[in-house]
Amino acid sequence: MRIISSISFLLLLVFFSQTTSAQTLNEKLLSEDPKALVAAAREGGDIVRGAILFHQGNINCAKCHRAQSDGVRIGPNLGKLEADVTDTYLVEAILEPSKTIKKEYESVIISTLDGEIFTGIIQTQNDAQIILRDPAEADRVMTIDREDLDEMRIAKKSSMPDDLVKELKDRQQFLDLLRYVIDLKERGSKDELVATATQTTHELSVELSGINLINELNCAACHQPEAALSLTSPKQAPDLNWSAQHLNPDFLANFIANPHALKPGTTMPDLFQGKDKTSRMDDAVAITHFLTSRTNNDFTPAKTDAESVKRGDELFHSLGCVACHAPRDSTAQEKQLDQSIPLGELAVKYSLTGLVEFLENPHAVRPSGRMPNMSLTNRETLDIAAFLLQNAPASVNPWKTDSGLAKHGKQLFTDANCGACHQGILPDSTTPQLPSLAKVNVAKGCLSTASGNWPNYELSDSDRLAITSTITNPIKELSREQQISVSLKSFNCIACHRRDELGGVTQARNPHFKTTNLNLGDQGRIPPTLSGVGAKLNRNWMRDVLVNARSIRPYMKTRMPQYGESNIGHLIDLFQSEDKLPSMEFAKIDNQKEMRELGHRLAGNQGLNCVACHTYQYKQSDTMPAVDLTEMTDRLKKDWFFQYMLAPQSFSPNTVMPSFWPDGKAIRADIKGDSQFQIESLWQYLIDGRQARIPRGVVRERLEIVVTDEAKMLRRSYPGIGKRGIGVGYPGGVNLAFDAEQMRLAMIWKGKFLDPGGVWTGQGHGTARPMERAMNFGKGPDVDSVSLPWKVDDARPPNHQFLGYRLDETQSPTFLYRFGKIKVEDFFESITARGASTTLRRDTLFTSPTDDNDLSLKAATGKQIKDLGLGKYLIDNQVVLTILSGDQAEIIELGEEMQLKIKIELIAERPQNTVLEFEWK
Amino acid sequence: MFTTLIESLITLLFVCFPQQEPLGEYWGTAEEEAKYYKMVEVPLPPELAVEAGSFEVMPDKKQLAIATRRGDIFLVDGIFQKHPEPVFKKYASGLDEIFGMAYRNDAFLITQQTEVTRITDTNNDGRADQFDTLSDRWGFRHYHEFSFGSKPDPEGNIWVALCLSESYHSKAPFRGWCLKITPDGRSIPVCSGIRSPCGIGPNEHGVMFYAESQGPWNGSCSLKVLEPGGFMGHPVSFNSYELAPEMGQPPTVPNTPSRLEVERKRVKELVPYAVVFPYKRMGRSISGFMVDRTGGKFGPFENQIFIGDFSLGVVMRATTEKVNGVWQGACYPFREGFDTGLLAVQFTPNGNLIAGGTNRGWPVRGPKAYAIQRLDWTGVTPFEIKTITATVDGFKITFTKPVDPKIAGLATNYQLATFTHIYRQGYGSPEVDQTTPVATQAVVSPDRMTVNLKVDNRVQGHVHDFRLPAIRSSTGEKLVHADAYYTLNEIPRE
Repeated sequence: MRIISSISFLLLLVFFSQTTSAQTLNEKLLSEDPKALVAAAREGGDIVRGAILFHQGNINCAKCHRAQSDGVRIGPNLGKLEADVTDTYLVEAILEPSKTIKKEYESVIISTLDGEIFTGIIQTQNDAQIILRDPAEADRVMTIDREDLDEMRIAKKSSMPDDLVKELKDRQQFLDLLRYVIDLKERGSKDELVATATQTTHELSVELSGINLINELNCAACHQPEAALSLTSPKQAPDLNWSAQHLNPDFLANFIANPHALKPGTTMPDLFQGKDKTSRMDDAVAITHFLTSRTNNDFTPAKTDAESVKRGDELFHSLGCVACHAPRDSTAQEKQLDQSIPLGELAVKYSLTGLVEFLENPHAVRPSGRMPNMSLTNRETLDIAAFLLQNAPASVNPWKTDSGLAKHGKQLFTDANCGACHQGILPDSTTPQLPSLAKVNVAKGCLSTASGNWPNYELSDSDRLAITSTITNPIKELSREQQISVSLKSFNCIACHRRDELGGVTQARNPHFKTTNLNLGDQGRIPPTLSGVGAKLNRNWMRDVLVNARSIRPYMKTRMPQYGESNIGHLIDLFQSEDKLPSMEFAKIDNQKEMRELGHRLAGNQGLNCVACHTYQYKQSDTMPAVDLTEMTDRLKKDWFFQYMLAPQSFSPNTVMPSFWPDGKAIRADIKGDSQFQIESLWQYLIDGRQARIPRGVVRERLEIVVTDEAKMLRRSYPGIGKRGIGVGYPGGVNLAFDAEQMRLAMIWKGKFLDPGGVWTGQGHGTARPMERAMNFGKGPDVDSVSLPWKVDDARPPNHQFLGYRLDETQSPTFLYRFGKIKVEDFFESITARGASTTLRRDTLFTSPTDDNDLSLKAATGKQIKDLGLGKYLIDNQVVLTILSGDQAEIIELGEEMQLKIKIELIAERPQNTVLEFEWK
Repeated sequence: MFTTLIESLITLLFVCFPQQEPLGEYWGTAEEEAKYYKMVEVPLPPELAVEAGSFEVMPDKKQLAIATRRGDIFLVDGIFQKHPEPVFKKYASGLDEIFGMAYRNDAFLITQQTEVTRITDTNNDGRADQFDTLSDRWGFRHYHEFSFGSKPDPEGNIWVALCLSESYHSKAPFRGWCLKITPDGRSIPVCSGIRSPCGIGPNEHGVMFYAESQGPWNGSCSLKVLEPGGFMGHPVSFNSYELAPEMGQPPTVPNTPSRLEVERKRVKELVPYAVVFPYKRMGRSISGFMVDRTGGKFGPFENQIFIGDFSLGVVMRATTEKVNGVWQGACYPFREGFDTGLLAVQFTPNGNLIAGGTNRGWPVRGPKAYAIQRLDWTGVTPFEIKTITATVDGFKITFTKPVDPKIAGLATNYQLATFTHIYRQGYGSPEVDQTTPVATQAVVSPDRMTVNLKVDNRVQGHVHDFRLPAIRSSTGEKLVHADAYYTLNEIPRE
């Protein structure tokens, strides 16, 4: 006999191969002297980055080098290595794990008489059995009976992967990791790295289970319960007014007639025990007529489109629906999965709009909140409904309410006491005069196996036992923890969360919990533990999570459902008063400002590098979107934060968060203060919340305006221009900035266009910066009077007026402005002739109402302008300017600057243009 | 030299924004507010940075135009529908911090940092191609010289409020002024004394107002009327009077420290701040506002001003009235919990309120870099203080629902307090000169919607702080917000 028991899934290792160069990192490192690597690690290894790598999802050394749930180890405790383990040994052990394997961590290979082969580390063995642990799946345990054993031999390979190093980016990361491992070794550890919590799921005790059943079956609707039960909330039946309006009446009739056949596991009882098939159907049909007579039924079978169905499939299997319900195949056929809340045949029950309405606000129909609101967008509800209803019949027989039947149905509804559970149908329905719960006869009636004129709930023997034991040994008073347990069961919180020994994701449902970021390991997909949650979360935050759908784990695909304040609001008080941490002393705050500075440093990449993983103000780190730093103090209680910082795994078994103060000693002892002081500093810094200064190392958005097939522009401040600059980038990689205050071409450059970071980040106090070195032209308007030129300064010339611009089909602007009465249309474009490099062409069109011969156009300025002949000029040895329109130009020396000026003579009302071309050398 | 420049820049930032103390507590009413006004997320395309600075509903009533700080104008379909699924089309780009936009006669009229621009799509391809500068009359030498433009008034004029240089000085023409830009591009100086505006538009009576921020000469944020020839309180802009001869001589420079109520008697052009928003309790950087003209589609507050706040991400209400020729009025909390700093609000054709902005550059409570959200009235009327107006002997308080007359008829259920600010050159002001007026009689109207409150010891020029936690509706509801703040510049004479 062989038992293969998997205690739990841990994270599946996902390997990203990054190595592409000829020599792998592993090979490179192996070619180095281990002593040199040790020296380099001690010198330049970053212990904090090393700690992060040690715990990170794709390497996760911590996974094996800490005790497993049952205290057994897969890899050695790095804090308790033998005295003779040297640093260079560590290098070899990481790079060549199979070279020397410590005895107790050797893998064995066992082949059985059946021909099966098992590889693992021997956990225990006795005369009858050998128990192996699978090193790749830490919690997978294999038990092999010795009588099945054929051969057992020692594996030559270490269970530590040979190629772990390939998960590292570069040599530096190896040095960081090595530095941390050396530290672990030297530091030693008082205790084991904390074990992951055991995953054995415990159910409610029999008595609490009875209370739960009494609630879920709403026994109290007919039988007065014990006082203690009033602390928990019974499940009300659905609002039949809604059902009658939106559900398929045929389905309703069938369901009423045979609830347990149509929806095995339903809490709706069979009310026609002992009746034959025909008469129970007749009665059910009559009741349905009664219900539909009160409203206009609007059921039509769903019509769905394939795309929507596909999206719905994905949503149904990732949002958390399958935490409670059974998963389905792509045609929405349910797959068998134990402990699933039944849904019945939805496609014949709901119309599309009906299911959408239900999913958007389930509590309007089922007020007791067992079916939570999943905070779905309208689109999501449509898609999920489409997925679930894809097999709807093409058509159904129209339902016509028969008033005679309805009248009969009303009588049946009354007689069967339906109104005791389904409120809002019969105005004066009263609780039936039945014995109180304490006095019911368990041998007869609902709790018995006998048949009679009572509802049949199809109770299992264990259900019966639980309810009976609750009734016969009533709990007089429920402790807070018991109340919590009953609620966690009622709302099935324990399908996702674990609280101490209760609940948690089961192995069968585990694969349905998904993440957007594998680096976070299981922490990224398995909802957090509720053990001690009241000591962790501030009351307001907890309320926001439970009542207002607040979420801080964007990486977790499963959503925190909403059960309605009236249903689960009481949990807030219960958690808050029940959960306490041992009291502790905080560091003294002598100088808060100094501490905040230190905290700011610690959070940044020069300190403990929190921002390597944590989000800061919605700005994600480049590794993983761990919870936002700026929400920590809003969210967490201070003493919890302190104790968590010291030993993250003891609070959150799945976390990839390393401790930076293992055993209470700071790994960054070089930074001021002991662990209490450092943690307090971090807290003092984080307490600024949203206003906490941005730590060093937060990835900043890199901005660039990229020009592709048409011109792009940006009006902003540019270097050397006032605030009225206009940058234009043209296809082909020529760019300019125009000064709309002085009406001048202010700069030109070739290559990439623009970095708008200076004006699009912060308050925008910087300038838009050319991505390449620009050629700047001197100040002052390009078009000006020859005889009375404006005395150039930084201000606005008095006789120039900017009028705007128009864009052509390539989005290239023509700048429009006036100088006195002269209208100027200044057009720039990029020209890419075949085989030539792209040039910038300027075509300036003048129109004057009068003759004018006192006008000049400043074509360029520079430190040096050389006349190359034929209307060509070399500007600062970089750009060749050609006057294509044939105008005569003159080089003028003005102190340091040289100007190239073209004299313009205009005839009244006759437009005239000057064409210049800039070509980069 | 470069280091000096950086240092001075840093100092400057420090001087401008010395806000390292906590941003301000939440009202704590978001959950209750949500029962009446649902916050609907407007999903934004991940590839676009939509830092909304201004909105406009297009004539087809199907599209919303969104203008941004990054200088884009988007035409957006599908944003008004019950479940917004917006589709963005870029109409124009490359503009400079757009804080003002309207669409009239087939053209956009926008206010950007540099100018007021008319933007047209002449070839009807859905993208702008003609950009005509209507006015760039004002100087623009510093990035913090923000320009906020109104939608056109009935004559087609756009009113532009021009922030001071670095929000402290007036280093370029007309910084700290309001200019009126006519449809033909003339720029008419309206008034001086502006500090740092963040919203401009008509009040519920069609008179042009702007939103001023706390700072020098402004003890707290306030809505002020842009009175032609008036002085809005900050005297550093007096240097532009020489550019506006039609405005006459600069006013007398107010004394500092003083009180607005004292100085308005010395400085005849000084226009009292119409609605003061007590700092932190009622925002700390009030911004874009708009009057509810939805005809009741947005609930019981028709014809009231709805105004956003940049720092705290809240929307508040305000009402104004003219008493003895002077504008004054009240502000009321309305809805908190927006995801980002609000810069602009816009009522939609369906009677919902779009609000959006960015948290870039200044301390903002909302965590998102930018966001657009919509408030939809759920159809359930909240029990709120609807309006407070001044009467000869007290105040008239109107509620949104009938009150419990027994409680509302008891004058002791009205807790009143007053304060004012120091009117001074220094930054902001604590609340000072506190007094406690006494409600002596409360008369509930026959329809139980209104209470006439007789109040002893009101103080002219003070903000009157109303706290009504005891008041209940006729069905026993508490007020969603039990506070309101009335700025009593004038006491009605009759």
